[in-house]
Parts: sequence; structure tokens; C-alpha cells
Amino acid sequence: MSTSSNRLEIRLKEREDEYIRYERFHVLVGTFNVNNKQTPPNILLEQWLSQVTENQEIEKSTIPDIIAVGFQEIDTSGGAYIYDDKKKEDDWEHIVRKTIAACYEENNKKDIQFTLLNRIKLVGILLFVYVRSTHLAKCTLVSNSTVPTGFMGIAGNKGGVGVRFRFYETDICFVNSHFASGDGQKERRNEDYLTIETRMAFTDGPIYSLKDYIWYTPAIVGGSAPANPQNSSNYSQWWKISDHDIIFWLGDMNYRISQPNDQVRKAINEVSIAALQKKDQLRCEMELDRVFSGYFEPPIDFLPTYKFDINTDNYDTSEKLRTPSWTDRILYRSKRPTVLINNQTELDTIQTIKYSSINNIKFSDHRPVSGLYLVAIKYQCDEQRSNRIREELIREFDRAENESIPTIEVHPRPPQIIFNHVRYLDKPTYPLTIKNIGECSCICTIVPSAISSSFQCLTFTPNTPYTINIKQQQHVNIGFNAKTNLRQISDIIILHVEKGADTFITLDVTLDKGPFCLSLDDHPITLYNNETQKYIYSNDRKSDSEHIVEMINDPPIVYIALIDCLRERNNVDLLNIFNSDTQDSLDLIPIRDKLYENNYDFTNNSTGEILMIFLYLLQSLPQPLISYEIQDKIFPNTKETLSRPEDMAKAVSIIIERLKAKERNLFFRFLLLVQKSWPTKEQIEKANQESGDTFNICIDILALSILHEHLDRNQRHAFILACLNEEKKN
Amino acid sequence: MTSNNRQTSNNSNANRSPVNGQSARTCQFKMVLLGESAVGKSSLVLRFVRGQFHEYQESTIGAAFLTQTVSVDDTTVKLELWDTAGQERYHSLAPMYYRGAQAAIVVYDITNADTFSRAKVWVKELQRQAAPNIVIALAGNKADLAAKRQIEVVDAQTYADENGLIFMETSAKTAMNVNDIFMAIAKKLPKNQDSSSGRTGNNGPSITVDRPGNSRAAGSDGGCCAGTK
Repeated sequence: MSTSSNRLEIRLKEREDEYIRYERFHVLVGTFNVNNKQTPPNILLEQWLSQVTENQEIEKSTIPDIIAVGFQEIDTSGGAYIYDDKKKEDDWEHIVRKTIAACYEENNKKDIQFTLLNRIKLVGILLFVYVRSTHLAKCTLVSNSTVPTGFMGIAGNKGGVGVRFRFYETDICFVNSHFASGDGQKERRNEDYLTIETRMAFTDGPIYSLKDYIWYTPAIVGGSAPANPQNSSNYSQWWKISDHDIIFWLGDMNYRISQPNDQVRKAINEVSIAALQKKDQLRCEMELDRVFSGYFEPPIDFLPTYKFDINTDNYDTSEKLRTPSWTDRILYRSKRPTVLINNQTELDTIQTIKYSSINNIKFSDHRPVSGLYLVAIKYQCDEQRSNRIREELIREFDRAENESIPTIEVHPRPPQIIFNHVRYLDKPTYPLTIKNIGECSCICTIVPSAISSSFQCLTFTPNTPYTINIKQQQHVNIGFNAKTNLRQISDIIILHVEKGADTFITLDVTLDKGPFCLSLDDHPITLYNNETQKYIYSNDRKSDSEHIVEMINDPPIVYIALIDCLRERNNVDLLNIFNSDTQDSLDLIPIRDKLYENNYDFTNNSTGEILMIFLYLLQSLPQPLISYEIQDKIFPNTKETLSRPEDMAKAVSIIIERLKAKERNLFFRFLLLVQKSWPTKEQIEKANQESGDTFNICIDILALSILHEHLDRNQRHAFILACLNEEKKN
Repeated sequence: MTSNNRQTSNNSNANRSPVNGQSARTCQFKMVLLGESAVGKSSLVLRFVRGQFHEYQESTIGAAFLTQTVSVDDTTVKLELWDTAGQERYHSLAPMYYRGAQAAIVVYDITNADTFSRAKVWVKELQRQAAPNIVIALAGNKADLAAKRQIEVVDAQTYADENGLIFMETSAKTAMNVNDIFMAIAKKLPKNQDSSSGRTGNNGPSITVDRPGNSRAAGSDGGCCAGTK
């Protein structure tokens, strides 16, 4: 969820042109390596700052809105590593203060004042940021940061300092750095840049430790809490250098000119600077994108700023005879290269007005460098407009989200499965078509609902789940397997679309009235003719006959008819019947229909058919022949089987005691029938050799027919075998 | 070793600024629509989300959901709207959808007194079985058909007051009060992190069978509130 709101903020920012009004402001940036020189008393650096703001043509001076000045090597003498010489810092600030006053505040009719917004020092690297006092109220979220890169990466003799703040609505950042020196140290300098770029982090919350930097990973625009925020406030914001809209990176970058010294000096004398710039290490490295990626620097039209003999215009005449180089630079970067001003003119976000070095400040071995820039600042946010866009975006997001919800259409609609006149063993099917009408592919499953009672009777061809591509459809046959002991089914199942809607499928099944699923007591009472000594099979009862008696303790006539028929045949081959080949060839529908029609003439039916339909009849009983209650009595423990003879005797006594007369009668008829057809040891061995586990399957089916699925399989087997043995004894 | 004279200026920035990516908090809630069939549940949702109305809206034969985000003060409230089938046959499946919901709109048709009685049954069921802090609104829909009115406003209002329900007469057809009733609920939903987490009232999936991808229907997407800062 937070990702979606982050997405919203990113999109909102992308459209900021529509609700942000830009204004251009002057930013003055200066950098000066002061070579550890004692601050000359009362020195003014007027030209350093004023040279870039003076417009000689109209003899008018531009008043900058922001002034950022950075020094390097303010004092790296031994003591500075150990304790901060606050006095040096104050001295320099005093000088800058006076310089700004001399340049802009005094002699000006307008009431112009500058305020020091922030200052930050790392050993010899010092940065001051001043703003015109009139803007002070619009400078918020001011924060600073330091990253040492010197000795062992922690000493502050080299490194960078930064100050960031929000100016009106623009996040702006100034970095002053001093990179590794030496001709051959190009890679070290690149590394210094990278270290500062990745490690420098600003927060408006309290700072705890270096660890915060290390764990800090840039997140979204505007920053967020560090990745390991265990000890930092949840509500603070974090910014990296690259998070800023505007960045000025100034300092003694120490990049040299890769050209033999004499050639460089010759070029300088001939003032062919452009050619020399091609050999400038920083330019070359930037072109190769090894450093300052995304930063710009206007062409240099001033002489190399290093290294001079003090108080002269002569390049280094010492033994080292260093190659003159542009070590002192000001680079900038803006998040958007151009902006629309007044909604019509597209202008560079940062425009350089002047970039120069100052030749008559000679007390250092470096010359100061300064630049004046016209910077487009997010001046005003039209809240109403931005809120309107925000609402618009939210609607757009909602729409996209709603459109991405997988959507299906079903046919028929509504899906209502109604199966009437279903007979036991029927397998009616209902064709359902699922069509993907959404904008993405979907996965559908059919699942039971909270009220489902008959889900296990359903088959789905093909089986769920279904993956349906856009505009494709899936045909499904929902089958109902009428091997149920319910007469009437009313159910709802659910067609569920992953990450989408649910469709209800109603299921109404009515089974035909017939001998299946009917408890023994619900059958008509069995009639017996005393005279013929035969059961009455026909449905029309000759109740007038005086020889006909009601056999209230006998099982229903359909059971008697089937059992009698089987006993008469003398050819019940249990092992063969449960052989799968035989099973497949049995078509039980005709004999089933005979039972529904109370026709008990099985002359044309095979023994296998008669036995199977008899077993199905037993399986369809709403309660098993040996009720669950009795089964639990016989097997009080879940794992126990009837291993000892006395256990079985007890079981039989329970059955005799508890089983109702009709059930008992049927049970013993069943046992006698099975007993009679029980295979011999040889037959069993032969069958098992031929087709695996036939004997066990046989026991399984017989046991399930009278016990249904309740006990453990081993218990069921034990029960059936024990009963058969017990019956043999009798 | 390093100088560390940080001066942290902590100018207040509590207000949302669209410029610099500080978003307001975002809350998400599950809302279910219940009521007799053909009272206009789907129509209310479609009017609210899409601004559409269909005279002959197909009857819902399951449970569909749509998302709509609204702003309440400085909070963005995302509503996941579950529109359920109203037919009596499906009644027993409703708990799957209202379980874990933080809000419910019980809808009746002002031109049909039976639907109002049915609405009362729904309210009672929600009060008994839904999350204890569920926000319930009663919507007397089809207010554009006032001429055929069978339920007086005052009766519904009295009933709503007695039961602590938000009440409005609405018309999905004319859009009357449609946004208003959803907004009224959104305003009443608890936005503080603890109470709106929805996890308290969520009993997890309501069906026990292994149901791939049932998280949505079963309402495990309890509303949650996350400040993005």
C-alpha cells in the first residue's frame, strides 16, 4: 500500500510543472583554497565576490539572493586535527561578512541585508551559506553534513562538507570538497567524489552515528527513514546529495592538466586555454562518466588557478615546479535540465552568468574562483491546483486498479445446476462456460462455500483451477456423481477468481424415489405367502389373501430378492467380481432401473451385476447396516483390531444385543451369502498372483458396504473377517 | 576527529507539501454492501466508483469488489467495496464477506416495505456477528421514486438513531447522497493505527477448505493504516 502512495507522490512530482510557479534567483558561489595562510588582518575579498556580479556595460551590480562560499586549507596545522580552532572559522566568517557588506549592503540605497544561514567545517574545509534576509522565512529544513575522506578514509584533512535547505519549494544543496592532491592521484580524487556522493546524508532529525550514513540507502524522492532506522526518529526526513533539485559542488578538486609542464606554461603564455582544457583531468574523467555524473561546468575562460608563488603572478618556481592546473572549480547539477517559466518559456534551470577566477588576490598559492548563476526556483505552489491534480491521480489510480481486477462472465447466467429425476449411480453433467472479459489473464477455481454439503459428489472436467487468458474462454463440465445417501440436495458452490469476484453456482438435485438411499424402515413391509412359502415380489399386494402375512422383522423385499437370487445361482465368484476388468464391463443401469421399478426378475442379469447392485444398495443406506454407534461400541479405541477370540465373541454379542431385528436379519443373510461364496485358500493365492491385491479389495468393498466409511481400514477388515469366522463356527 | 558542529534547523514541516513528496497517511478499509435483492446495492457502488447508472443493472450472482479512494481531512482513505448478491438463497454466504469488514452499508428500497424489514434483519445480524466496531450505514435507496414511497424518512431515521447507524436516503439514479453516504462512513472510520488495523475483527478465512487465493474473499485484507513517513 505504501508503494501505491509512493507512486502517487512520484507521479505528482512529475506533474509539478502544472502547479508550481518558478521564479529565477541569483546564486553566487565562490571557492578559495587559502593555503593555510593566517588570515590577513582586515583583508577584504571584495573582488572575489563582486567581480562576477558587476555588469560593466550597465554599470550595475547584481544583488545575489544566495551566497555560498567555500574555503579549503583554512588551517591544517597539527592542532586542527585534535581540536577545532573555532577562532579561525570565526575570523574567516568575519572576513566574508565584511566582504559581503562591502559588496552589496553598504552604499546601496535599498535596505539590503544578508544572513548567515548555516556554516559547516571539517578541519580545513569550511562552507558558509548566506541568504538575503528577505528570503530567510522561506529557507526551511536547513541541515548540514560532513564526510571525511583523508587518512584511512576518516581523517578530515580531505573530504567534503555540505549544507542543504529548502529555498521556497526547491531543495538546494551546496557541497564544498577538497580531494586528494598530486598529479597521479586522479583515481583517488574520483574515489573521494564517490565517497562523498554516497555517504553524505542530511536529516532534519537528530544525528546519531556514522552508522546512520552507512545504513542509509536512498529511497524515494524527498527521502525517507534510513534502512536501519533502529535508533533514529521515524519522523525525520533524509536527503542524499542526489535527492536535491539543485546542487552546487565547489572546491579544490585537485585535478591536474595531463600535459608536460613546459607545454602547459607555453599554452598559458599564448592564452590558448581551450586546447588546454581538453587535457584537464576533470573534464576528461567527466566525459568518461567516471566522476560527477550529471554535473555541468561552463567552459573555462580563466587561467589555471594553481600553483602560484605567493603574492606573485608567477606559476610555481619551486623545485617541484608543479604543472599549472585548474584545481579550483564550481560544478552544478539540476534535477530537471529545463523548466517552464510563466508556463511558456522553457529555460535552463541553472544558467551561468559568469564563471571566473580573480587574479589580484594573491596571498595564497591558489586563486579564488567564483560563479554567478541564475537559478529557477520553485517559488510558489498552487495548493488548489496540486490538490486537484492529486485527486485526479487518485481517480486514475483507482480506475487502473479497478480495470486490473480480473473479470469473468459465465454462461449460463446465473449458473444454476438443477438435476431432477436423478437415480442412484447416475452421473449428470452441467456445462459451464467461463469467459475472461477483463484486462488481464485470470485464474479461476471452483470451491465449496461455507454451507457446502455435497462438494465431494461433484466432478469438474477439466479439473480446476483454470488459467484463462484475455478474451479466452474455458468450458467446464460439472458432473454430479449420484452415489450419495441424500435424497435431496440444495447447495451453493463458488466460482472464485483469484484477486477478483466470486460467482455463486447453485446446485439442486432431487433423486428419484426408489430403493436407494432409503432406510430399511422406510421400505414397504415385506410380505410372505404362507401357502406358497414364498415372499411376495410383486408390488400389487394381494392383501385380501388370507395366506399373506406381514414380515415386520424381515428386511425389505428388494434385499431378499437379490440375496435369494444370488444364493440360488451358486456361482458367486467374489474374487472375479472385484477384478477391475469385470468391474468395467458391468453395466449396472438396467438392473438399477429394475430395482426402481420394483421388478425383481433378474433372469437376464449376470451374477456380478446382481451382487454389485446389492452392495450399492447397502452403501446407499442413510446409516450403515451396522450403525456407527455399534461400530464405536465394538471398537472403542481407534487403533484396536479384533485380534483375540474373546474380542470377537464380545463383538457378536454386541451386535446381537444392539442390532435391530430387521438389520440383524439382513446382516446374517449377508454373512451367509458371503460365507457360501468365500474363496478357498488356493483361489485366493491364485487370484493374488494374477492381479495383485484382489482379495484385499474384495474385503474392502464388502466391509465398506455394511460399515460405510467410519472406522479405520484395518478395523473394518478385522471386523468382516471375524464375522465370517464366527459364522463358520455356528 | 571530525568537527561536527551540526546545526539542525527544525523548521516545522508538518503540513503536507505536494512539492516535496510528503504524503498524507493512507488507510485502507473493507466495506460490504448488504440488503435484499434489487434494492440497488450494485447501482450505488457503480454510481460512487464510476459515476454510472444503468436502468437495468444485472443482478449480482456472487460478490464483486471495486476500489475507491477518498480524501478525508489529511488522510487518504482507500475503500475496498464488496458488493454482495441480495437474493435470499445466498444469504448464508454473506458472513464470508462481512467478516473482517470495517464498514457496511445496509440498503433498502424506500418503495418496498419488505426490503426495510429485511434491512433491519441485516443490521441485527451485523451487530451480532460482524466485527464489534463495524461502522454501519443505512441507505434508503431509490429516493427518486418518492411518489411510491412505503417507508417514511422519519421511521427510518428513528430506527437508525436507535441503532447508532448513519442514515441517508439515496438515489443511485440521480446520484443524490451517494458520495455523501460513503464519505460519512469514511469520516467515521477510525484512522488511528491501532483501531483501524482491522486485524482484531478479522477471524481469518471463513471457509476451512483449502482455497487458493481466497485471501480477498475471506477478508484477510483487513484495513490497515500506514503513514508513509
